[in-house]
Amino acid sequence: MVTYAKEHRIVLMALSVCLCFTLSISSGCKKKERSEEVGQDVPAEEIIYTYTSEQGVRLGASGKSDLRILYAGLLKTDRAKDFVAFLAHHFEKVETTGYLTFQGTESAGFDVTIIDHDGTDFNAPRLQLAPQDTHAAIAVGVPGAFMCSGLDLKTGYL
Amino acid sequence: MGDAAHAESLDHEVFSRPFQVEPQFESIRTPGNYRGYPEGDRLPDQMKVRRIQNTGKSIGGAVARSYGFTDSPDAEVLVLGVNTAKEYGAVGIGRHGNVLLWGYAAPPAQMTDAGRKLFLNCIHYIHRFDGKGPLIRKIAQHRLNTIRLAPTQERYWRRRQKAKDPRVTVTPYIPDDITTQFLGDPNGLVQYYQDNIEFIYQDRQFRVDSELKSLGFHSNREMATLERLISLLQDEKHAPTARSLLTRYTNESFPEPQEWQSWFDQNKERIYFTDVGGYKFLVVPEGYLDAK
Repeated sequence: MVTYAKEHRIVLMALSVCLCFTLSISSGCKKKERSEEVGQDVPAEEIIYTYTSEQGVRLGASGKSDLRILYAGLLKTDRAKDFVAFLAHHFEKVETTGYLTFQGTESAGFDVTIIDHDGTDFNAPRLQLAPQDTHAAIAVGVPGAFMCSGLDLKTGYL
Repeated sequence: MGDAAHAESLDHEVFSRPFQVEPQFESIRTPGNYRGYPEGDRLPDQMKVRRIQNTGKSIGGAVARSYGFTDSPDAEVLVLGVNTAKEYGAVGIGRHGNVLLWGYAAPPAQMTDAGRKLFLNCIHYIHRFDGKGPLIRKIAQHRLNTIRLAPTQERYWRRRQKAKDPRVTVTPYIPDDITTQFLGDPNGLVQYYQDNIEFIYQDRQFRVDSELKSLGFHSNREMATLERLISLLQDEKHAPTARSLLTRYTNESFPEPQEWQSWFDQNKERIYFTDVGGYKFLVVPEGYLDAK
């Protein structure tokens, strides 16, 4: 074993140098991207915009908009938690339901439904909502656009 | 679509109600894909944009095609999305009836301050359209797609000829008899559709309305066309063609010219023409456009 290590010492050292070099380049690029282009994520707990009386928004007892919001998403994900926390800071009533089981009828009793999957997945299950459902809704990202396509809306993907 | 929106007008109320959206502008190099679309070669080298989110990615969200987006009064463009696949003008945030597409992909934590305020404003805005479904569905392709598709039609036609596969039953939007008139001359095909853009309609495939053209009309989508077609019903010589064209371009079927005229007089302030809704003159129902 010792002999083997001695014989291959130069090779191992070269490999170590290569590995260190690769890691330094990789982390360097990542650091640059974060600081110059991406910016820091802001936790939803820290994002609160305050309504004022001049805005013409009907406010509830806690000073938030009294619109009733239904969020249909992948509820166990950080993304969904972020959305819900953000919404809860700004609306009196925010309830959730699963994206995969969402049917338009659940929007009854809410003012606006936000339909969200992961924002980007082309292969996300495509919701087939009833064309006669006229509840106000926001469809988010690529899965939202495909949902619109299913309804033959101009907001569809193609 | 990536993180940004084109810096078009901020006059719409979604940029000010309830929260004032104050975006930070920056300049980017014009995306190369824009050049491949009609009028794309006229765009400047640099474009002013504003960020909606901060993912650092140039892809991820979705934009809807701009062609025909505003040809019915139930839809509106709110934000043009900077994108890497479609045309300049593709819709990053837009509304059709009671549904608002927020084409951006990031959750609030990754939105910019301006993006988060805009998202909240969009929630308040779309609430006003609760119960107001769309007037039309997208059942046809807008006429500008002829110019978009023309440069690649010959290649598509040749591929289908080569395949000779009986299972290939896809009907091309541009008819083969038109494509084959311009073999080896893609610019000629583009020019053909540019020259006839006001006469295009879709009957499964794109057609140029030679009947309308022969009657000396300038367009198939102007109100003056509808009005004159109705008046031609009184003209014995042209009445059959006028009736046929009214059937093509409306969903009405009145037996008498007077009924056509009455329909027009009663609704002329609310009539619109839509390509994507089926190349028809349609009437906005009374009260539909009243603000909530």
